[in-house]
Amino acid sequence: MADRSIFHDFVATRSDRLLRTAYLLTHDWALAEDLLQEALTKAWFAWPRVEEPEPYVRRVIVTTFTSWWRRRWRRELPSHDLPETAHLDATGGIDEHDSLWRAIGRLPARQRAVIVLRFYEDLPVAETAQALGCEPGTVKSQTAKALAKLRVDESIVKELQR
Amino acid sequence: MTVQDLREVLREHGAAAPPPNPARRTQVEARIRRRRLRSRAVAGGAIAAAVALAATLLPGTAQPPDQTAATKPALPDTFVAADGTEYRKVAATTVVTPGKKKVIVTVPLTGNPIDLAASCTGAVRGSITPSVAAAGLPPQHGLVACSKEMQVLGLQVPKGAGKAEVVIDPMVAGTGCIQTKKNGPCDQPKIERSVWSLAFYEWIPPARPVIPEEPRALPGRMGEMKLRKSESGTWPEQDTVTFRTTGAIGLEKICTGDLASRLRFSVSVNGTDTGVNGSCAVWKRGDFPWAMGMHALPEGKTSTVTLKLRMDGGSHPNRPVRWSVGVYGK
Repeated sequence: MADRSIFHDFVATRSDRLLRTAYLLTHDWALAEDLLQEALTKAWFAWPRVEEPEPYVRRVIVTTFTSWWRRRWRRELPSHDLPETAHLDATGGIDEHDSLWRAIGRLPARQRAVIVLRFYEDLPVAETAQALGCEPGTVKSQTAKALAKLRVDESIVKELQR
Repeated sequence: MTVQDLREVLREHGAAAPPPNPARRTQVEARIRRRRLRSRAVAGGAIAAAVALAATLLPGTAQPPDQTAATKPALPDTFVAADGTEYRKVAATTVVTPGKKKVIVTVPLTGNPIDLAASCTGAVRGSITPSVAAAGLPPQHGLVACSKEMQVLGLQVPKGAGKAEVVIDPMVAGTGCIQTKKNGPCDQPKIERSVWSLAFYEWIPPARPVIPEEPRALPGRMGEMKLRKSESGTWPEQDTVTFRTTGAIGLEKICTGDLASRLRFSVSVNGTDTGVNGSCAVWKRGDFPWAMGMHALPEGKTSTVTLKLRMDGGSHPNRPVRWSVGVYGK
């Protein structure tokens, strides 16, 4: 159980970390801030019942993000289609990493969330499923679909099954 | 590319210093206060409805039902916007959410732009948003949340057609589950009923351009980021702005005018579309509504950043928008 007296300390000390996760989901610092504040607000009302604040707020960030996506209420409008080939333009400074970053931004919300939770937060399949409120099998299939869209080599099967 | 590349990309972007926001605590507190007030308002409405129902059931006290929460709010037949634009209602409907069946409204078109206005009563928390789409056109923006205050949305309609069929999807959004205890059940939040009054208005712009006030000056500094350059202009005359700069930058955009919130900026770097398509902030009072979009440009090499402006929904040259764009960097 979290004491409401530590809420402000939590906001002060943990916000930057959570904001980065929100940024990786939204690809926009302003949206990320909005998402973080929305999640913190929701968390404040549930605070007395929350046992582990940081995973809880992270979970709310993810579920709020996917619900925003369903509502199509967001400031940025990534296009639906991925480019056929990655742009490799060394002179323009747009390299493979830039292309991959933009491609992540074009993934559907749930696939983007799976990618961030699994490969940035390093959560195993079971915890990712808990955070998203879905079955582990769904996490695996969403991961595989996302990696295929990103044209990431899936040969490291262990990465997907752990 | 490998999974390792993917991890590196995520860590690179995750390691970037977030824009500082010293007002975060007070902003979260303000959100908490607003949510409390809304919960009380909804609870108060529910109590009032219960009292009205009880009154109708008491012997000898039968009364017409009171117009309380969750009843259909009214939208005017005509109204005039701040810049003098005249709005006239051409079609209307009521949608109850959550719902399963899509509602199709036929909107007569005369060549004038069409806006969709909404007023809503009922559930606020966990509210849902009807999405609006016109056949053959790109997806429309939805309405943000259930509010008694009239919200107006620009609608994209087919040019040259005599009518448009607009589909209102009363889908339920925001159904992600919430787990309150470790290893406990993940419960779906309850989606409560809302009643949306929707009206389609055609609008006739003012006879002469109504120039909005100049946008307020952009802050010279935002945390560690300093204002490097800024440009201002008036849409639609000026619909492109270009900066030559280097390194990590943040872009801020503020606009004035009745259609300010509909102006969108797409960003390209060295001629390559970044996929970023952001709206413009409206700053009337209070703290600067920062909405910085970050772009990592190569260090030590000047890049050309171009912002192209377009209006979301119907527009007219006599309803211009004044804009100001700032480039921030360390």
